[in-house]
Amino acid sequence: MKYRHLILIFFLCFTCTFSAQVRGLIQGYSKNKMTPLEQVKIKCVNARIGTYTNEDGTFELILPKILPDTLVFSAYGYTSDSIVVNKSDRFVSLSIVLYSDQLLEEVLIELKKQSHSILKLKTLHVEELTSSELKKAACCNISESFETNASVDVNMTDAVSGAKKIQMMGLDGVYTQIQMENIPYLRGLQSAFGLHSIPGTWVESIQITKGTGNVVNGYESMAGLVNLELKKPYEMERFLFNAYGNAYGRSELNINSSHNLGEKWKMSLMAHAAGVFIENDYNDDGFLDMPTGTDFSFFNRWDYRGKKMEAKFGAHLYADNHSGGQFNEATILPLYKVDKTTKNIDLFAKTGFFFKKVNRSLGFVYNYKLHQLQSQFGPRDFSGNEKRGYLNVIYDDCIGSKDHAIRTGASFVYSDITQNLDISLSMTQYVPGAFFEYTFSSARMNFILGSRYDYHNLYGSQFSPRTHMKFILSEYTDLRLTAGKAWRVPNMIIDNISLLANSKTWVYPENIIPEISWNAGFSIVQRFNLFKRKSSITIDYYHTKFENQLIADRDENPDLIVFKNLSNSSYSNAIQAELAISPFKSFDIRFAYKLLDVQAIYNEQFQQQVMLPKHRGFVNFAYTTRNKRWEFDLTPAVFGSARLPEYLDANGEIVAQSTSPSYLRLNGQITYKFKQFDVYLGGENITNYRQANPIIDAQNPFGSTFDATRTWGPIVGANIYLGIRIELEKK
Amino acid sequence: MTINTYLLSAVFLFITFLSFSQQKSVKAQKVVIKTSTQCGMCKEKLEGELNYIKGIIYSELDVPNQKLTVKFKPNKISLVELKNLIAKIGYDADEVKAKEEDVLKLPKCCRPGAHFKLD
Repeated sequence: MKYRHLILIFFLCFTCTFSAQVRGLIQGYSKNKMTPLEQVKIKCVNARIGTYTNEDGTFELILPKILPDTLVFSAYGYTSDSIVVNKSDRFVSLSIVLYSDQLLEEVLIELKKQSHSILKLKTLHVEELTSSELKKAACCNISESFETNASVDVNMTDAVSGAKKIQMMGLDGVYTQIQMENIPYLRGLQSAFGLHSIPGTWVESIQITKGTGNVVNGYESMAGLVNLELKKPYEMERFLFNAYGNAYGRSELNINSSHNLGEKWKMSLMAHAAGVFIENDYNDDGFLDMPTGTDFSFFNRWDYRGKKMEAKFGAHLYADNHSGGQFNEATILPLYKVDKTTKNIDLFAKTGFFFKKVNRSLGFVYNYKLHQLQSQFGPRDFSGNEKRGYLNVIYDDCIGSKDHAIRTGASFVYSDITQNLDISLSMTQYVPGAFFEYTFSSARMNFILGSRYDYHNLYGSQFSPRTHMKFILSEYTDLRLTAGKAWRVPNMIIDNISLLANSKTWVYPENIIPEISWNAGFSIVQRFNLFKRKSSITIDYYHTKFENQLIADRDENPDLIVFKNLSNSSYSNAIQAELAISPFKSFDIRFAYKLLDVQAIYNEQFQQQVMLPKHRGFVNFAYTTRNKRWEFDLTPAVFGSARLPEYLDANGEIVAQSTSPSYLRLNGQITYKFKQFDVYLGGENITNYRQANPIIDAQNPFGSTFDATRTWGPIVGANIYLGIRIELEKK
Repeated sequence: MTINTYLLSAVFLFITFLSFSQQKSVKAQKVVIKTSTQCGMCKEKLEGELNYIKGIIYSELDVPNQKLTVKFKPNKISLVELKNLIAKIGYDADEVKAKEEDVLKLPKCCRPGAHFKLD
């Protein structure tokens, strides 16, 4: 274990940098109510250093070497307060209450946040991508949002459908729970194509948690949790117009608007239309590089903020129609078409009630979804229908002080999924569940103990314990540990739908049983100063072990795709290292490296999952001019070689297992800001690297050796895009 | 290979655009102005206004010290004009004091006295 030495060295480095730190919560008392105060100024009088509180009223401050010193807390609308801190107060937690100065004005401050950061106070290792990071890769939907993020990978699933799927720790996107503001989202039938339904302009921030995450929002987060915070009527721009076009004939239009409806009500509308209207086939295989078609997506939400209760509700509707595959109408032969039609309705609501006691609240989360999917891969037709109902009740409280917080509640999931291919799979699931979570916080250490119990109407009960710990080794160093269990019921056909783009026969398992996994890992964040600016290094390691996994074995026989339930025979090891430095003013560089060792028993031996590079890395260069009007971004990414399964060539001869070459992909973007609008120009895959012959036997798609699912590299070549963003800020 | 051609021409276009927008002329001047700014929001507000004014190359506010660094071209905007501009936005700029009516246009937290003063 060479990594062990590395870790040891890190510990040695960190422990010598000891100095004092305070953290705390500041609340304001006005109108007989206590609320956490954001943007409270905290200043150390003698040392002349200071900070501001975060949105949730918390702060962290590194104390000066010379103590005692006086800390002054001040916020507009509140009477200032001060306390004296001594050497003995190092690493303490402060709880400060500021009283209203009768003006009862709210502190209204917009925060400028760092665009990519690890949330320092969280016990869980949560990476946050804010809207400024999302603007770095301004095309098109949330799947592109992860281009400059090392934790989540986005892959093309096959060479014909244009579908993209995320991966965490090398594990397929179905093992990552995607949620929209803590509502499990894009699940079930949406797992294959769902990312297309949320454009980047809707997203306020994305939180990425590796490992099982907390127990509150469900049992399905096996590899990780991706939470999407969409723009909220209270904080979003008054109006946004965005138009985008690229060299492959894709054009997009986004319009957002928010409206004040009285003091307590706010509403927003977000609309998205996109289409690909030009047929491109740069590799001359007779198949479209990108399917043509249109997408419409619409989001409407309402917010109510009263004294005793808050409510949010809304709807997300979308429909799309894509057509890919062979497109040359002149031939007499039947064409191999890859079509997809989707209709989706999501209705959601959240209500929250406050109590007199601070930190006590009761929340209800509701979601109802109807989804319809029609899809065709050449001669094979798939159709699916899904109904999903979700209810989650969450009660928050604390025992004694804020240091002992509890979260408990109950959930109910109703899911009715029908999948029709050559077989028909129909499953109606009712899953009632209950969860309990205890959070202990102190100055140097936090931990969360959580567990949930779910009862599945077909598979019986499942108990999922999860625990997370955070140690503050010094004010520059955080160590986090996590371990937990998660499970899901696979939807075999839709989870693997891209594997229909070949002529292989699917061999089904005898029965479908839940997939269960255990995940454990740690992360270390070390902050330091380099070139007199903030820098950080993050190293993490996660191990996921499946008690049971439904795998698609492509190695057993090149003619078949064999689905089987593997018991205790598959795992994933993921190591990631990231270094963020800023060599000169407003120039940031981020280096990331990732090792993925994802193995399972394929063809009776442990082997790396196919098409999954073991090594990969990227460097992100970001430069902003001093007047902040030009922004430059460049991201070269290197993908190592991946194992490819054996296949039959056009003559029916077996071509032995091989590995793909490693390759470089270069993305970049330039943004110029005018006072009222921004213009951006970007390039994707600028070096124009493409996988040669992504489709095997493309001339004969109905033959026995056709295969469009051996994709390991880009199908689409160099692409440039141009966009404009007009934003009117809230008055 | 048409995409490549597109790409190259776009990059060239941008580079020429870039070099035109930063053409050299009279020697730029750098000044440090003491202001009455209060907080991070003032920084956004002031820099957001000044960076789009013709003649200003960049402006940067040091929030704790209330010091604004401005690099500008004296042939396009004079120091007096610059200070008047800052006062018009609502902040004192050295000896040029902001008018009461302009201060009232600022968000509440950006007005003098909104945050506790230490010295």
